[in-house]
Amino acid sequence: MTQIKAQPPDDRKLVEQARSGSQAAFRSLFERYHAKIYRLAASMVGSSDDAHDIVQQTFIRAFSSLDGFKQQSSFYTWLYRIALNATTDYRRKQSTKLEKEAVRDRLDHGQGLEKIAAPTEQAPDERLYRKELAEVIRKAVDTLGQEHREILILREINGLSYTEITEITGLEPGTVMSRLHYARKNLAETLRRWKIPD
Amino acid sequence: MNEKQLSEHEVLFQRYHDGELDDASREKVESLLAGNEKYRGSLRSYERLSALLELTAPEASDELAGRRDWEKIASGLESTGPRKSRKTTYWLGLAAAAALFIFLYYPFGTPINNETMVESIDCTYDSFLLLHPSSDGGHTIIWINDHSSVRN
Repeated sequence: MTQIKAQPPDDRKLVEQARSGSQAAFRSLFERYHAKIYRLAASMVGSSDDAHDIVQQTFIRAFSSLDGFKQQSSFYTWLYRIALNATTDYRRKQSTKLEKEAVRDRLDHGQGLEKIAAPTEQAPDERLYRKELAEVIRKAVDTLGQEHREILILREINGLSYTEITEITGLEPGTVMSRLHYARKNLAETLRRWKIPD
Repeated sequence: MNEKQLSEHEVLFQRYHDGELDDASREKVESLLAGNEKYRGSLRSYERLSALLELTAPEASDELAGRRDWEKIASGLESTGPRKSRKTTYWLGLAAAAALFIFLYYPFGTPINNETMVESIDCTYDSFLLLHPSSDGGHTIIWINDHSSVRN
């Protein structure tokens, strides 16, 4: 017996329905992309609670802007763009340049790093070490300029392709590659300065 | 930002690391790597950095948090609505304002006439005054003081 599986409606169809006011269609889109948008937001802002706020803002903004979405790009890259703008707004409100410089200065002088030492036989807590190391890496990423930071996170943490990053940011492919290269280079230099163990 | 253009090798190695090369270019990079320790070193530094960044990856959102997000979004949607309706609201608002204007100034097609012909005044009123101020476009104002009901 041949089993016919119902194909889930594609994004385009769901967008059309949502545009006509169907909340159910918009919920399907939410369920499809919620996890990805959460990952993007959490990787950009660090805090889980704030990431959930950004997810909510992103979907509400997307719904209210559906009429302006001409479907020339895919729905999810459009959604990513909204989420990226929401995280930028959030970060602008939250952090000041001075705070960022204070962290950089403190870590440049090696302060705080004495707390994270590679696990030894006496202190074999690998999990704690990785957690602390992750925190320092996050701070190092935070010292990058926004244009480098964004591209690096989109590629490394969210696993987006160059084409997807190009669509989301509206940058030329060459600019994406260049920013990614210099983001990695600057981050590696910072980690070397901070004597982060390999 | 002081960023010079990337060299061909920098582009190739980065694309190789990111899995962004076609088969032919990938083979080319692999042959370059095989014959040059410096190239292998730069590829290793890419890999090391990616491994460190992977440590910062957030944990996935759980189902309950996702449901809570949707609840908040759904309540937000009710007050927002797609922008299309905002356009409609604009035109509806404009139409309503126009209708109100027409109704106030021309109710049911009959122009409002402030002038009323008074044929007689009931003199049981406590007192009354006829005013004819020149500042009021020559219209007469009748002022009535009706205290008769109080007196009773």
